[in-house]
Amino acid sequence: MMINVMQSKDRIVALFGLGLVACLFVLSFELGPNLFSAIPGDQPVEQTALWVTCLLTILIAMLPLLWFPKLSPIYIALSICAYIAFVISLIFAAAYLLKIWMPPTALILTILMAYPLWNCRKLGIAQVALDNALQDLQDELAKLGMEEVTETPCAGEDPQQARIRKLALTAKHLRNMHKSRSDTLVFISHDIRAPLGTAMLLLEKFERNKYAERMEHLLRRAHTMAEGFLQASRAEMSDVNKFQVLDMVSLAHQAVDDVYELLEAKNISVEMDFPEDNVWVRGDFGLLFRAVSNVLLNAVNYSPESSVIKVTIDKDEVMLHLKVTDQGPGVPESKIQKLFKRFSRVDDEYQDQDGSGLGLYFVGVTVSKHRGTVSVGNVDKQGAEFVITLPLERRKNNISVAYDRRVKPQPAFDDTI
Amino acid sequence: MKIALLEDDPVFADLVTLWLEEAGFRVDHFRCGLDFVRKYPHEHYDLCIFDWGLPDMQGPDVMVSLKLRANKLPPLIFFTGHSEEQEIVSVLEAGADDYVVKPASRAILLARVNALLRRANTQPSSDLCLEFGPLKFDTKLRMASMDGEDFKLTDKEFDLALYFMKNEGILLSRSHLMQVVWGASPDIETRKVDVHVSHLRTKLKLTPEYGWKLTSIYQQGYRLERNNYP
Repeated sequence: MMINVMQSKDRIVALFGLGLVACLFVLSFELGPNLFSAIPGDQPVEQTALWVTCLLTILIAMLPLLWFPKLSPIYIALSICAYIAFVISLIFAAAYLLKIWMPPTALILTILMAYPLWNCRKLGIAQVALDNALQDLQDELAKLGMEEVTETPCAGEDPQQARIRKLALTAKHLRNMHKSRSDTLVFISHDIRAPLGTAMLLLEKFERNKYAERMEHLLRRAHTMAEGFLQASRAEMSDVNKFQVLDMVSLAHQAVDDVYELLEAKNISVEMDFPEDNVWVRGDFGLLFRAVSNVLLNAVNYSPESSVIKVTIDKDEVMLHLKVTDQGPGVPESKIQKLFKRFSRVDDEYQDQDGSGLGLYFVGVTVSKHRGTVSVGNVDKQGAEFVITLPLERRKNNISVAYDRRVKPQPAFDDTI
Repeated sequence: MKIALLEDDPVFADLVTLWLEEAGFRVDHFRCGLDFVRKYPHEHYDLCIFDWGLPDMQGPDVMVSLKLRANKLPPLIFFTGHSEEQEIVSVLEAGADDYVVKPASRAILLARVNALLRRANTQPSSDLCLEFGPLKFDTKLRMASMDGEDFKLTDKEFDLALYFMKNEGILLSRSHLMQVVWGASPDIETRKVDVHVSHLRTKLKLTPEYGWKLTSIYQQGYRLERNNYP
């Protein structure tokens, strides 16, 4: 990023500066008292002319600038050391073999200078770019009416300090915006959902005709949408620190039980292949339950009558794999990428049929919150297979989560039952 | 049977009143908490249904004021507008017996009401042989069987199964089960209940195919229900 800020004109400036430094060094060493130009050994050698020394010094010293932009600071420093060693051996080789001696002192110093010169230039440019970017951000926030007035910059503040302050401020704004967005979403969807729900119940009292049916269809769709938004925001906002140890086998059993009536209606049978023992993961029961349910519902919706849905759980040392395979039409290849995105109703061919377009998005968010992955593929061109992978709870002992430092103690229920 | 309904949304309250009256209950409807708190000492209610948020006070506050006036409360169901774990857990922590998420379906509301009233009115039975649907429990031999097939249950599994059966339809908190079945303080080994419940599910075939529905409520509680499928 920083390197990209360096334009070609900045490189020319750096090169020019380096050239100037090289000339200065050569002149001062060659014209002043000569300390290091004595040639080792006693063979007669020819010393290069002053202008040649100058030119060679400039050229050789500039070479490292070619690879500077590609390397990180530490590698630049290392490469300089290696380069100097290489140049010195070259000069001595030239003295012995070609009998030409070029005084190396100025050259070495110039090469050493290249590094601070380059970094100084780069830092200056980066600072200007950073300041501009920060200013843009603040302007953007000011346009949204979110300018922070409480923290005015004090006079004589260290510019670096000011930058850090601005960055922290922007980060705070971002967090606030994210939170207020989620809060609004929860508020709206919740307050829309309640009257819609009551309206749906009231509709039962109406005379059944096609208008009542259409009305119910519309209400149900709006309700599903509000519910979808609410759940998706909950998944996004869920607090990983409150996750608890839970058994995925029971959870999957329960999710299958939950869709039993739908299965009956379409005469679909479910083949469950679960381990005999419990399989523990750390998570939010409500979210994971809904995620597994959504995948199941999706499978039920796309399954033809009297077909079979396979649900399997297996695990390796670190991961749990939950697979749901149906015998439906499968997911078109082109839709696979978009399936877990928000509003994934790509078209009517294969859509997340809960109607909100948020059902599988919810699955994606929930699973990644649990540090897992979800993927979908087609089996033998016949039927879709969803795979949810979650990390296993590593602690094998049956210690209560209340004793777990990572989890706050869960208050027990009141036992007045 | 008389039920107190505390609900501020008039449309929803009408609907619920209608459902309950159709089911043969008498219903007193209150719009705000204070009305109900004033009336409560002079009336006998078999069950209360509270909304969580009321115009003048919160549902749980109403409950606390009732507790100050009477030492024994009738079974209590909360309506919650949310199906989120945190809210449901706090409803139950507040001392409610059960919850129904709005918009409630008639079937679910009546199932919860009936389960709680049934428990409130059953006498402890001394029968040695108990039947729950297709399952038979012999409390003397401590054996469970279905269609002549015996199930191998451990002591604790048997106790737990029997307790679930006797409290069919009722939400049982995990800590409550720990105390009743294990006699242990509720904050140790929370996984133990989960493990036993999942064993029961497999051993006794507590699945919809056999007419059962065993639900974990956010792992904080469990409910065993008979569903409509034989």
